[in-house]
Order: sequence, then structure tokens, then C-alpha cells
Amino acid sequence: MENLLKLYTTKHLLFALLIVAALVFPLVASTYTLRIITMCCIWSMLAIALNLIVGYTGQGNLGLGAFFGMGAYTTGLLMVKLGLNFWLALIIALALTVILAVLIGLPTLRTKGAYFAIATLCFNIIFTTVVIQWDALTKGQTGLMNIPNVPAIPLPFGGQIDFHESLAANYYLVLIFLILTIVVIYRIVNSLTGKSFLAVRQDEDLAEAIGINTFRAKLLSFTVSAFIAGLAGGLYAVYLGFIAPAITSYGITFTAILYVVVGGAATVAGPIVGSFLLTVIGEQLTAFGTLHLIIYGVLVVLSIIYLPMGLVGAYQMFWPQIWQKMKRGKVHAA
Amino acid sequence: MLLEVVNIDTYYGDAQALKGVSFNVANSELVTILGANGMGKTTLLKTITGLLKPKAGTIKFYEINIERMSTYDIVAAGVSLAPEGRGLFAEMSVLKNLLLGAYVHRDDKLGNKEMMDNVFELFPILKERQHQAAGTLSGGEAQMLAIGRALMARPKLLMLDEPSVGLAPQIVAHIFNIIKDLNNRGMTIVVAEQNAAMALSIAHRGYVLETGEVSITGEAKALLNDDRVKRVYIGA
Repeated sequence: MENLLKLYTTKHLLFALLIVAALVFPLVASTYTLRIITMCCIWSMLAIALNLIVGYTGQGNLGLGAFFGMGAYTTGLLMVKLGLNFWLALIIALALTVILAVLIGLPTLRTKGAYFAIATLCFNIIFTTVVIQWDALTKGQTGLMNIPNVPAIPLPFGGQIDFHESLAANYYLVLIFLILTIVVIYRIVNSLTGKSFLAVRQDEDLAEAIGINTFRAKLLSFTVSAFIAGLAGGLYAVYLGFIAPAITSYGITFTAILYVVVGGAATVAGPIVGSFLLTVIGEQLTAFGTLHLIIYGVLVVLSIIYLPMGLVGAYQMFWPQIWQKMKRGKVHAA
Repeated sequence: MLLEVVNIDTYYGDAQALKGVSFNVANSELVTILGANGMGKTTLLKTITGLLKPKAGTIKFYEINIERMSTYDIVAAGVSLAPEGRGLFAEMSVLKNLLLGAYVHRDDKLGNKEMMDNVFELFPILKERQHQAAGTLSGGEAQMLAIGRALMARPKLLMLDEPSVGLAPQIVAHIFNIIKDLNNRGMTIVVAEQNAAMALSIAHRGYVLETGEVSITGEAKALLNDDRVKRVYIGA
């Protein structure tokens, strides 16, 4: 019990330290680094979303890119076409993303395993095709340009937070949403509802037999996941100011799957670790030109072979053993 | 009657597994369903909990028809099953398995805590093992966890599917003692068993299922002395 207590406090301390580091980061980082880290935060949110439905609930949702795209395009279009400000546009976009998720989840979640993966993949392809073809609304392959910045937030003691000039302001905006997402996910997975997601993944028939409404659990997980993906999409649109149909495609989902697998599925920290690590490595590898995707691929394959539970999964598996050994070692030494 | 099953037919696709089975359980009774493998014991329990839907017949629990209700509503109404083969979430801890049993009461944390203490009192070994993965438990401990998890749903009717399967005789005796003890405290229990001698020694009444039909039914004592039961199921 004492050991557990220690582990928990270390975990909370580590989380607090990371937040402090993230807060002071813009003071020391170059513009280039700050840009990459902001993108890491956005990809982390997408990976967290994927991890909820795929990692925790065991449903191979290959349609997450569409929800990311739904968040991005709805936010962008409402701002560009109707001149809404970012906050209003984001709220409407998220509401529409949730409605879309329920409409897609209701029929597709009746299927299982590979059929569900195929059904959601088809949905994603249709979604991307619509975005490309609906030229009048989305500007098709050209993409939607000149999405305005987040409106400046006036400060009570004079001055304002300006999102047009300041990269740091955008970074903090994304960071705050990432932290909120982590807190929400942490609370979900530690609740009985979150445990029911894991139960569905491990043995759906058994979960049903002990009184879990497995369909409701899957739909809830699917919808919350889509909501987070939509939020990441909305932030992506306003941060970059430009979106193209490629960001709605299933390729986005596969990228997120890589992040989750390398970081560790069904862990809270896994998708974040995976997103940051692979984005940063990917960025370093661009120096190798066209070779970079090959090196990237090899790294991912190696990590899947040698760390099937991902980095965080392996840590959780082996750390208690190492910890025990270290303690025993101390006793012997004394 | 607490539970009244009347003339149910259950099918797996085209294959009929239950043929006009009628079965009832009174409040505070301990009833056993006997029969060899494949005779329909599990099918009957699955039909009562709504995992299988009967093609014909009615099932009443507290005078309410439940044969078309979903499993989670039936569990919430008070019927709880410890499935065959002690189905546990092997990768999850003992504690999480127990908590999941209380899923239908997920908003009542205080009540669940109290129920958990009751289960730990009944099975002290589970308290010791609470942080262990369920997959690492011995057969007897796993069975205790399956029963404990079923109790976490605070059932009015507890159904156990073959609690003795694959266990050493002294562990079977221990488990059956606990089942009897639970019944003495007022819990209504249905036990499906192949081990007829053991089941009849604690039950009030019994039903024998043969190829999906009730062939013999009566008081446990009468069944123990019934020649057909003796010959086929007890081997005397």
C-alpha cells in the first residue's frame, strides 16, 4: 500500500513538473521548435482520441480522420464564410461533430472486428470525397485559406493576448486544450464507465453477461473520441490558417495509430509520448530527404516487434519489477 | 414465485436447445439444475439472463415478464449470473473485476464499497489478492471471484453455472459450503451442476435436464434416492 502511495505521488509530481516545463517552454524555445511542439500537442489530442476507442474499447475505428476533418472544416468554414469568431465556430463545429459521430456510430457499431474497421474506413473515404467534390463550399483540392486567428483576448490590467502576432499565445491555447483533454481522459479511464470500455475490449460477451450495456459503452466511447478529434481539428484549422482535404483522410487515422502503438495503447501517457517522439524524430529525419520515410518506417516496425505494448506499456510492465529489485538491493546493502 | 419460467423453447440457429422447459424458484430457495454436458443447463441460464431470447414461452421475475428484456436491464432488476468457466477479465485486477460486477449500480459508490467489504468478508483470499491480475488466480480463487463479482450486482437471484468444474474435491466442498451459507442468509440461488451428489446435498429442489427437456424434478432428498438419478448422475 505504501509503495502504491509512493508511485501515485511520483506520478502526480511528474505531471506537475511537465506542466511547469510546458509553461516556461516558449521562453527558451526557438520559433521553429515552438511550431513543432504546438503540432505535437495537436497530434497528441488526436492520438488520445484514437486510443480511447481503439486502445481502451478495442473497436478498430478507421474513420477518425473524418471527425478531425469535420472539426477543422466546420470551424474553418464558419469563420471564413459566416465570419463567426473562433469560439462560437468551435462550439458549433463540436456540436455538429458529435451529431455526425452518433449518426455514424449507430449503424457501424452494430458490426464487429474487421467489419467495423471496413465500415468506418468507407465512411472516411466518402467524407473525404465529399470534401474534395463540394467545391463551391470547401474550395476542393485547393483547400480553405485565410482562416482568421483566434480573436485577441483583452487582459483585465490592460493590454491583450494577441494570437495574430504571438506564436506563444497559440501554443498556450493548444496546450490548455491538451491538458484539459488529458484530465478528462484520466477521469474517464479511472471511472467504472472507463473500466466497462476495457471490459468490452477484453471480452464483449462476458461484459454483456455481467450487465454492461455494451452497445451504449461503445457508442459513448466512439462519440467522446470523435469529439476530441474534432477539437484537435478545430485547433489545427485556426492554428495553421489553412486546411486541405488531405487532413480529413484515413491517412490521418493511420498516423495516429502509429503514435498510439509506439507510445503504448490503453495507457493515458502512451499516445502523448508516441506523438511527441515520432513527430520530433520525423522532423529530424527530413534531413535525409526522400529516405526519411523509409527510416521512419523501419523505426516503427522495430518498436512494434521489440516493444509490442509501446514505450509506456513496457515501462508499466517492467518498472514495478525494477523498483522491487532496487529496494531489495538496498536491503541487502544495509 | 420469484422466478417462473413457463414452456420456453430456445434455439441456436435451427437447432433447438430447450424444448418446452418450465422451471420455477421460490424466494430464499436453493434450486439445482442437473444434467450432463450439452443437455441445456447453460442455455437455460443464458435464456433467463436475456443473453439468448426464447422463441416461445414466458419468463417472469417478480411477476414481470423479462423474456424480451435486455441483459443489462435484467441484471439491474436483480438477476445475476456467474458464467460457466468462471469467465473473468483475466488481464484486470481482482478489484476491477469486482467493481465491474457493480456496473449497474455505478452511481452508488458508497453502496458498492459496502458490498465490496461484504464480498471480502465472505472470501478473505480475494482481499489479499485484490491487486493481482484475475488471470493469475488458482481455480478455486477464480470461482470465488466469479461468485463475488455476481454478488456485487446485489442480486435477488444468484445463478451459478457449474461452480465445481475443474476444481479439486476439497475446494468444491468449500465453495458449496459458501453457497449454502449464502442461501442460509436468505439469498435465492440457482446452481447448474454436473456434480449431482454435491449439488443435491445442499439444494432444496432439483431439475434434471436431458436433451433440452426437464426429465425429472422434485425435492432434493427424493432425487438423491431416485433410481434413475442415482444410476446416471451419481453412479451408485
